[in-house]
Amino acid sequence: MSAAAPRGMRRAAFGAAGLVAFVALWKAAGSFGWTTPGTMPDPFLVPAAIRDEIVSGRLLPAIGSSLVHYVWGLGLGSVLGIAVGLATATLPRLDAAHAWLARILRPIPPLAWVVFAIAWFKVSHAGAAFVISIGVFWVNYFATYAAVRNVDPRYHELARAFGQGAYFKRHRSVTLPAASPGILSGLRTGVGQAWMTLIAAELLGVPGMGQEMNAAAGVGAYEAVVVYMLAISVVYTLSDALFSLIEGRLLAWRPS
Amino acid sequence: MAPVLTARGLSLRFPGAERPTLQDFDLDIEAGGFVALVGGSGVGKSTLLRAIAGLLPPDAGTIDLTSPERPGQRRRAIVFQDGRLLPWRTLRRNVEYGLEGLSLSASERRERVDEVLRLTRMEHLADRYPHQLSGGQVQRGGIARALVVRPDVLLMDEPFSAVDALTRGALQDELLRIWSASGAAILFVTHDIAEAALLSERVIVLSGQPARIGLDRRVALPLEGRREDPGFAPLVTDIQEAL
Repeated sequence: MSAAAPRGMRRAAFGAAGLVAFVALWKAAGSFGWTTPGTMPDPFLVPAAIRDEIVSGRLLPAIGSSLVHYVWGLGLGSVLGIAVGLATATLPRLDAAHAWLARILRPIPPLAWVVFAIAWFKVSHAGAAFVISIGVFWVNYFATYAAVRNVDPRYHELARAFGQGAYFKRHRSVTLPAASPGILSGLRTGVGQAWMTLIAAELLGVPGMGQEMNAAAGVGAYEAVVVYMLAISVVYTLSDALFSLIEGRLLAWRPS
Repeated sequence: MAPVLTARGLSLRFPGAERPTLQDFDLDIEAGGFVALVGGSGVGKSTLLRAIAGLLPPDAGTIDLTSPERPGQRRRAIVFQDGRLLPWRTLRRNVEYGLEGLSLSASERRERVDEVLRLTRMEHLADRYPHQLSGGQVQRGGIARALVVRPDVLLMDEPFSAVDALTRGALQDELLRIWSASGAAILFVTHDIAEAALLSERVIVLSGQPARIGLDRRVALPLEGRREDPGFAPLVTDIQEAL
């Protein structure tokens, strides 16, 4: 057996120990009354709560509904963020024209748009996707803008030397690939950002995990709230792992 | 031999510069010739090369490529000092970059790329990314990308200045072999006097500001064993004095 194997096992043992210590602390917090009575879920009742949420037919439709908001919000925000970031970074007049506007709009948190989401889309899937897309948009916009602005100008010279100097040819053949690590990093941050905004957007009452959490908390079923928190963690981990796989394939050309 | 490239009355001044880099500058390059352009740092040799490559528009004057453009060809191509391979493309795809936008079928493209990879002896490296190549191989990749467009004039901007002395010697031999096989005229910018004297059929020395031709000398020495030829040392001395 290689030396790396025992080291890996030791790390795994420490990881498991950390998890057990956390659960013990969590249990103690409830048992010794460290929080307001009745508000601390019992970690040992969480497995039963998972079964209840599945059997009652609430968990899977809630995940499905959240995924609809997530995919639309993430897709729309990413596409628009990358497109606007690319356009403003490569067209100096557009860059100058949008600079003040971006400075005014950027600090407004996505959840501040909830009021307009309800006014324009009512309490609907579209409203939730709209709120999610705003946060994702800014992440992708800034990542793309910075990545494109940092592309080595020598690549542009190369494109011009080999007949690829026209706007679309140049940016397709050198700017986009050269900026791809930065753009993909923005996309990956957006994948996480979208989950954070999603739950808050659904707390408004749009069907999904956020709404189920709100409903469970309303009747004091805090174990069920934990079930949805764990579901978010699992779905996020899976989506991040999937993205990491795609990113690895797209950036296979980089020295490891 | 008839010129393949003529430059007449070229003037170029960088914004904020006290004097122009080039003023009323003339140059002819003969078809198939090997011309070394020598000069000190900042004299304007790379500027002249970039103007000829179409990367820097002159303030005045004309640059004419006299041969008609054939389909599937670019009349001029440049090899940069840093090789400048695109890191996200394999060597094969980097070479192919030169052909993008030219009206060639996929099979023609593949044949052309294979041909220059063979010529530069890099077929076995075709699927490697630039970071998997040595400095010398990156330079040969840059030469292959320029040759694949079958240029009448190959512009080379100090292409071997960033490699070690051993690799440089090998690349110089390689370049002479490639030059005789390709038939393209070469305009080779260097600050290395010995390199200019060793490789070229004609040496042009640039000096002063604005740059003027301090020496324009035909080199009649044989390429084979040139360094040992009795005429080599006086040629180097003449270039040195003209700088």
